[in-house]
Amino acid sequence: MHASASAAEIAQAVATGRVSATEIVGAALRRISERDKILNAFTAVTDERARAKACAIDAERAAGRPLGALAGVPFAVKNLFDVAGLATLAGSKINRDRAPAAIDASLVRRLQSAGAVLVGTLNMGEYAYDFTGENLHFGPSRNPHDVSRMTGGSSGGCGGAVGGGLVPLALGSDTNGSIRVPSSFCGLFGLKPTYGRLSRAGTFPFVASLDHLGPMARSARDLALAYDAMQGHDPDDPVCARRIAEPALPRIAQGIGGLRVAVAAGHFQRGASPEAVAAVARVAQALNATREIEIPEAARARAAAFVITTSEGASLHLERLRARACDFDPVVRDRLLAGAFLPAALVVKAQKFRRWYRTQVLKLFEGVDAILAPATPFPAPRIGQQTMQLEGAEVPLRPNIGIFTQPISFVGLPVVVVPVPLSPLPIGVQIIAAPWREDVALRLAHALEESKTAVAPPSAE
Amino acid sequence: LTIAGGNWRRQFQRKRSDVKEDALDALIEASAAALTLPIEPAWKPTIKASLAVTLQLANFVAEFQLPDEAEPAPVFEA
Repeated sequence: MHASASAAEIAQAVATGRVSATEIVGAALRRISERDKILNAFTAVTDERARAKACAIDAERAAGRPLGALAGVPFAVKNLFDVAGLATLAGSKINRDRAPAAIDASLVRRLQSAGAVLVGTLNMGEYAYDFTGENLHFGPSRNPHDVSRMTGGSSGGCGGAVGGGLVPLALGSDTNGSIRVPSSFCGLFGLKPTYGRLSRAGTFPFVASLDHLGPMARSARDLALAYDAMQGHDPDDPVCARRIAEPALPRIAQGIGGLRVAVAAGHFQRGASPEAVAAVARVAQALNATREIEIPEAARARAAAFVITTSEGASLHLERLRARACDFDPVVRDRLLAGAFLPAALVVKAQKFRRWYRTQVLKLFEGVDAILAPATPFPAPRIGQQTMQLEGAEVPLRPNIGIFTQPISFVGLPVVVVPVPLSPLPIGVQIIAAPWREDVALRLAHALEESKTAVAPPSAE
Repeated sequence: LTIAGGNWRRQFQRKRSDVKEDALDALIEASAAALTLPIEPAWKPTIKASLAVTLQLANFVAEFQLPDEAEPAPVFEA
C-alpha cells in the first residue's frame, strides 16, 4: 500500500486479507530505516516486537477470528509513553538512566488491543517544555515538507513521522499546544481531547493540571478510529474521568447541518500572520461561519497557563535540578529554575483565575457549538530561528508559538486541528468544542476534509 | 521581550518596569539557598530574564479582580 494510506484503509485491507499485517509493518519499518535518517523522528524502533505482533494478527485472521478496528495499523508514540523494555526518555538525557518500563502505557495497550502495531518511540522537546521540536540531546525533528524547518513541538517526532508518511498514526501529549503546534507545522490532523478524557497512566508527566494525550494522523476519520479505541475510565490515572466511552466515529459523517460555528476574535486575530488569517477564513467559509465571538481575557488565560506550567514543571523536576542540573538542556533548565523561584501566592492566583475563565468560556458554548482559531500564528519557522516578524515588529519566536493554543488547553476544551494546505507550507486551524464534545470537532473536521478545505499534504515516497 | 497580542502587550510593558533588577537578584539568591538549588553564575542572566517574564505574566494575572470567595480550579475531593 502507498505510504500515505490511512489507518482506516490499512485496517480494512488487513481485515479483508488484501494485504497482510506483516507486509504493512515490514513496509513501515523499511520507510523508517530509509527516511528517518533525515527526519530524525524516531528515537527507538521496536522492529522485533512489531513483526511479532503483525505475525500474531495474521494468524488470528487465518484462524477466522475477528480483528480489531485498527488491525495491522503501524503507530508510534512520543517517547514519554512507557513502552515495555525501554527507558521512558521524555526527550531527556537524564531519563536514559531510568529502569526500562515494565509494561506499556495504558493508551498503548488500548491501541494494541484494537490491533494496532507499535513500531517505535518518537523524538520530542526535552521534558515536553518546548514548542519547536528541537532537542539538544537527540537532534531536531525535521519537518517533512521542508527539512530545514521545525516540526513544532513538543511532539515533534509525531509530526515528522506522520507527516513524512512513516506511520499513519502517532500518539503525542499536549500541555499547552504540543499536539496542535506540530499538527499545524507538519500539515496534520491532531486531536487534543477534553482534559481527563484519555488516560495518562504510564506516561512521563509535565504539568499535572494541564497534561493531555491524544492522536495525530492524516485524516479526521483516523483520529476518530484511534480516539474511540482509547476512550474509557482508567483507575490508574486519578484525573481520567468516570465517563463511559462516547464513540465519535459513528457520528463523523453527519455533516455540518445544525452546528453553529463562530470565529474567535480579539486575541486570536492579533499577531496572526497572513497565512494564519487566510487559513481561518477558508475554514470559516467552508463551514458558513460568519459570526465572530470574543473569548474574554484570553491573553490573561495564556499568561496564567504560562505561570502554572513553569511552577508545576519546576516542582516536578526539583530533585533533578538539584542533582543533575548540568544534564538538562540549558534552555529548559533555566526556565524551570525560574519557575522554582516564583512565589506560590501568584500560582494560586492563576488557578483562581482559571476557574473564573472556565465559567466565562462555558457560557459561550450556550450560543455556539464550535469556535475556530488559528493553531499557530505562522507556518513552520526554520530550525534554530530565534525571532519572527509579526505586525511589523521583530518578536522572539518561542514564546509566541503557543499564544493561540494556550488559552484553550488552559480550560481543557477538546480541539481538532485541521491542516489547510497553503503553499509552500501548510498551517493548522483549531476547531474548539465544548467539554466532552470531541464528536462535534471531529464531525466538522471530517466535513472540511470532504470539501477538500482541510487536506494533509502528501508525503514524498 | 515583546509578545504578540494588543491589550496584553500594553499590560506586559507597563508591568515590566515594576520588577526591580536587584529584587530579582535577591529573589534568585534567597530562593536558591532556601531550596538548596545550586546555581552556576553563568546561568543567572537567563534565569533572571525568564523570572522577569514569568513575574510580569503572573502579576498580569494577579491584578485581575476576583472576590475573596473565588475557588482555585483544582478541587480536592475527600
